[in-house]
Amino acid sequence: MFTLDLRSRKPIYEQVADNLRDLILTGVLPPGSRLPSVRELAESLTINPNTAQKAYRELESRGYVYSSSGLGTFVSEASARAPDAKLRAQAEDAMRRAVLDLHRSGAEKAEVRAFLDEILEGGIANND
Amino acid sequence: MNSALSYFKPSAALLRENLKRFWGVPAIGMVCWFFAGIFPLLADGIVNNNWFFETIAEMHNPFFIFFSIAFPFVASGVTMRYLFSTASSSAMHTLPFTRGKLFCTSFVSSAVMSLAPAAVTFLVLSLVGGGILMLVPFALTVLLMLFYTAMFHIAAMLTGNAVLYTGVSGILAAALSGAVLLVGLYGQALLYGFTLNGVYETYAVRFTPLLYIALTSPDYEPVWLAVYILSVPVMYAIGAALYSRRRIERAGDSFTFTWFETLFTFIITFAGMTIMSLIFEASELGEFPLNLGSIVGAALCFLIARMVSRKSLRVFNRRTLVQGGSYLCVIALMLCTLVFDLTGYERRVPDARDVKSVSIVGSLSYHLFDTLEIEFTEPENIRHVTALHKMMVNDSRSRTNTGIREGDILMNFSLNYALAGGELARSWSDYITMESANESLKALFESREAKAQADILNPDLGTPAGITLDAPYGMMSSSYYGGSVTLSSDDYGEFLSALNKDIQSETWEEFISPHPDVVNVNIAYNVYDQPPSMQPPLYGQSSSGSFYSINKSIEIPPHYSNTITWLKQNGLHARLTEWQKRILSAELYDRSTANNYPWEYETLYISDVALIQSALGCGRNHLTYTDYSMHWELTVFVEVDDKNYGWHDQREYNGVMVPVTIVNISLPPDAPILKELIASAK
Amino acid sequence: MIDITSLTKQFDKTPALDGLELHVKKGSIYGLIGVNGSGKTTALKIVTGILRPDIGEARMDGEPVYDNLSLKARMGFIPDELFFFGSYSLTECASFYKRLFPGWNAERFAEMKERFALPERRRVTRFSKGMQKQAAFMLTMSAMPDFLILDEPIDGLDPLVRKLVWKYIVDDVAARSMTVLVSSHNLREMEGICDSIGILHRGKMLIERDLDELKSDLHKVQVAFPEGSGSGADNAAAAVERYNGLELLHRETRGTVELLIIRAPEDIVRSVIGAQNPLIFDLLPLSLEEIFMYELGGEHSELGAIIF
Repeated sequence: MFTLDLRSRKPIYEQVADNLRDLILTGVLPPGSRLPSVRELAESLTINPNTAQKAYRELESRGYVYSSSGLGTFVSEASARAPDAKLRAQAEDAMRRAVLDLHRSGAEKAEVRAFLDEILEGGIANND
Repeated sequence: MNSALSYFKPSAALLRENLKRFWGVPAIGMVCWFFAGIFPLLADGIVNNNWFFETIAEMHNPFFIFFSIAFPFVASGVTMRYLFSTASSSAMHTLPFTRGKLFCTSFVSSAVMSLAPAAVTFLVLSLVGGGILMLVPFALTVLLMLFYTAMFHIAAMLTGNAVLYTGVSGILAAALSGAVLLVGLYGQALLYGFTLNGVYETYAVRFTPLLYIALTSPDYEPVWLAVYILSVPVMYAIGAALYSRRRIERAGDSFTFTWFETLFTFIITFAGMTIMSLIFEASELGEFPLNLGSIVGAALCFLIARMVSRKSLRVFNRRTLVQGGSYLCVIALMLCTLVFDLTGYERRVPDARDVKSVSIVGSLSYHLFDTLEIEFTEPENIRHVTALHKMMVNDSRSRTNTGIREGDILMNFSLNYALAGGELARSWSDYITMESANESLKALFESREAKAQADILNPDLGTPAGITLDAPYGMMSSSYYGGSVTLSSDDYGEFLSALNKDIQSETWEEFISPHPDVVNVNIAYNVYDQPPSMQPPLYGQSSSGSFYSINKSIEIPPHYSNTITWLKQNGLHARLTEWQKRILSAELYDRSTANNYPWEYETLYISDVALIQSALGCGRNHLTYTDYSMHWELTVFVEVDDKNYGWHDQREYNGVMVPVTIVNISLPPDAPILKELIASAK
Repeated sequence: MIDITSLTKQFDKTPALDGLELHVKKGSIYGLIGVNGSGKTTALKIVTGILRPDIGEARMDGEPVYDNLSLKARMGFIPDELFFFGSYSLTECASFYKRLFPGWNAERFAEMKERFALPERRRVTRFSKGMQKQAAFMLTMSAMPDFLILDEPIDGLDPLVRKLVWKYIVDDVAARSMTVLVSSHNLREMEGICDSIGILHRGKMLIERDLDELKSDLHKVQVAFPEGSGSGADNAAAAVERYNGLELLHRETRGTVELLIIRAPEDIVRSVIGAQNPLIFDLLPLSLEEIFMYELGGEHSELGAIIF
C-alpha cells in the first residue's frame, strides 16, 4: 500500500495513520469500505501489531474510521469526521516553509499569491 | 517436590533420540561382545566347551571384564557430551526438559547402550549350551555396568570437557583403591612397625568392584556385592545433586565446581610427588618419600594441573602461589605427622589387659614355633608378647640408631592383636639384643600354648603318610653311603612319640645353644580325611577342593635324646651317620679375606679326617645374628656312591677321580678347633 | 508476560548482571539493546532457563522459569550459536520437536518448508550459517510458542529472508499475542519492529520504555538567537536561565547555532523556546541510535559495535 520511513522522527503509527488518512481523503478507500484487520495490516507492512492497533485508534479518534467489534474497522462518512486540526497544523507548517522557500528562491510576493490561487482553483476541483 | 521426582523419570522422546543418534555405541559394543564371547565358540566348536562356559561363569573372561567398564565410560561420555559445549548445553536446557529429566534420561540411555549388547551375548551363550550358568555372570555384568555408569556420570558432572571427563573418570575409578595403596606406601616408608596386613589387601581390591569381581570370582563375599549394589543409587543421587547445582556456563571449562578443581589439583600434585619420589628412589637418589623427587614431582605436577584447569600456560600468578603454598602446608603437615609420629602410632603398645588374643606371624614364628602363625590367648603369654612389642618400639636397632652386633636376634614378624575395642596390627624386621628378649622369648617358647602348637601328634595334622630320615646339611638321600631311611608304618607311633617327647621338653636354652644337626626328619601328613584347622600356608587346597599332603621337616639336634636313643635302638643311627666315615678331605679359608687379591688369601688343605669329623660337631647358631663374612669356611668333601647319584663333583685323590659331594661348615674365628685345623694343614 | 526482577549474575568474579529489572508485556515485541558485554546474552540465557541467577528471578506469566518444563514447552529460543543433533536432517529434527512440544503445528511447518525452501534430507549441520538460522526459526515457530526469545536473530540472513521472518513473528504476535523478547545491536531493524525498548548498560537497565513514548519525549533542537550564543561562562549561565524548566541532556554550540537534546513534551519545548523568539528553531528527527547514545551520556567509545 505504502512505504514507511523508519528514520523519520515521526512515529510509525503516525505515519501509518497519516498514510491511511491520505488514502481515505483521496477516495482510494471510500467510506464504508472495510480496512485490513490489525493482523493483516501488521503482516503486510511488517510492523508491530501494537503499532497497527495504535494507528487505527488514532484514525478512530480523528474520526476517519470506526470499529465494529467482531466485524472489523471501516471508513467513516465524510460528514462524521471532525475538522482535522492536526492535518491543518501540519499543512500550515508545510505551507509556511514552502512559501518562504518560494519567496527566497526569487519569486515575488505577487507571484507567490498567484501561484497559490492557481492551486486553489485547479487543485481543489481536481483532487477533492 | 516436583523437580526432585523428575530425577527418576526419563524423557521418552529424548531417550528415543539418544538411542537413535548414538546407535554406533551399541553397534560397536555388539561387535566387541560378539568377538569376545560368541566367536571363540564358533571357532572352537560349540560341543564340549564346558570349560569355556565355566570361564565366563566365573567372570574370568578378560574382555568381558574390560567391556564392563569401557562401555559405560564411552556411553556416559556420549550422552553427557552436550554439557561440554556452550551451544549444545544452551540448546538442551531451553528445550522442555527439567535438569532431573535430562540426567535420568542420560543415565538410562547410557545404561541401555552398554547393557544391550551384553544381554544379547549372554542370551545367545545361554541358548547354545551355557544354560543357567550364564545368569550369574550376566547379573554381575549388569551390576558392574550400572556401577560405572553412575560413577562416570559423576565425572561428567564435575568436568566441562571431554579430556577432563576422561581423566576424572580414571581418577574416580581408581580413587578409593589408590588411596589405600598410598596410605600403605607412605605408612610403610615413614611409620616404624606399619602394616596394613589383611586390611591392605582387603580394601585395596574391594574398593574397586571391577578388580574384586575379576580376581575373586566366584568366591566373592556377598556383603561386598551388597555394598556395590547400594553404591549405585548413592552415586546416582550424588550425580543428580551435582547436576542440579552445575553452572551451565562452565561448558568447555576444565571443571564445573571450584572445590573440585582444588581437590583435583591436590590429588595430581600428591600423585606426582609420590611417583617422582619413587622414581628417584629407584635411581638411588635418596629414599622415598623424603627425597628431592618429592619436591620436583609435586612442583611439576602442580603446575601442570594448574595449566590443565586453567587451560592456559600462563598460570604464574598470585592465585597459583597461594594455592601452591596451601598445598605445601597440607603436605608438610601430613608428612610431619608421619615422620614425627604425631599420632603416636609407632610408640603405641597395647595394654596387655586389653588384649583378647594376639598372633605372631612371620619368620620369627616359623623359627621358634615351627608355624607361620601362632596365636596366644593366655594372659601371661600376652604379657610377654606386649613386652616384645615394647622392645621393638624402644630398643630395636633402628630406633636406637645403633649398629647390629653379634648375638642380636633378628625379629622378623607381625603382630595381630584382637583388642577389647578392635584390632591392632604391627610388623617389624629389626634386631634387638638377646639379653632383652631372652626372658620373654623363653617364656613363650616353653609356654603350654606354644608346645601345643609344636605337638606333632596333634590329630588336626592328619595321619602320617610317610616318614623319611636323611643326613643333614641338605645332602641328597642317594648321594652318600647309607642313603635315606623310610620308616615303616609300624614304627610311626613309637618314633613320633619319642620325637614329640623331645620337642615338648626342649628348653629355650637348649634351643638357642649352637648345635650341629644330627639327622633330618621329614614327615608327610595325609589330610584327605580331615579338613585343615590352622596354618593356611602349610595346608594346600586346590581350586577344585582336594587337599594335598603337608610336610613337616625337623632337624634333630643332639639334645633330642629320646629320638636319638630310638634311632640307635633300631639300628638307624649308624646308618644315618655313615656318611661321616666317607669324608675324604676338606678345604679351609678365611672369608674375611674374600675381597683381597688372590695372592693375599690362601686355601688350606686339610686331610686329617678325624679332625674334620670333630669340626662337624662344632655346631652353629640357629637364631642370633652372626656375621658369617668373618667366619672361616670349611668345605668338606664326602665320597658319594656314584651308582645312585646323577650329577656330582669329582676330585682327584691319589691319581683317581672320585665322585664327591660337598658339605659346608662355617666356623667362627674364635672356635678352638680352628687353630688345630690350621695347624694340621701345614 | 516476562518479568525479570533484581537479576544479578557473576561469572568468576566478573559481574555480568547487576540488579537487572526488565518487564515485557504480553503481546509486545521488546527490544533489548546494549553493547557487547553489557549482559544481553546472559539475561536471555537466564530468561530461557539455561543459567541460574545468583540473586533475583525470571518469570513468565508469573511462574519462575528455572527448571519449569511446562513453561519451556511454550517457549522458543533462537540463540546466537545454534546447535543441532549431529546427524539429523530437517525432517528428523522436526519429528523430535513434534514429540517434545505439545503445540507443534505440522501444517505451519510444511508451509514454512515451502516458503524457506530448505533441503529436507541433508544434515542440518551441513547447512550454511544463514540456512541454519532459517531452520532454527522454522522449528521454533512451528512449535507455536507463547514466548519467543531471540538473540541477534537476523545476523546472517539476507533481506528477503529477514522480512519473511519478521512477517511470521508479527503475525503470531497479532494472532496469539505471542510475547517476543529480542536482543540485537542492529538498531535500525529494532526501530521498525519493537514497541518497547530496554537499554542495557553494564548489567543494569538504563531505560525501559515504550518506543513511541521514548521518541516523542526526546527532541533534538537546533536554535539560534539574535544576540549570539557562543560558548563561554556567561553564556552558559544565560543558557541555563533560558532553558529553565527543560531537561537538557546535551548541549553543543557550532558558531552561533546551538544543538540541544531536550527531554520534555513537544508542546512545552515549543512554548519555552518559542517564547525566546529564536532566529532559527528546528525540531530535528532523532533516531534510536541517537537516543541510545545520548541516554548513555554520549560515551562514543562504547558504541563501536553498534551497527547503524
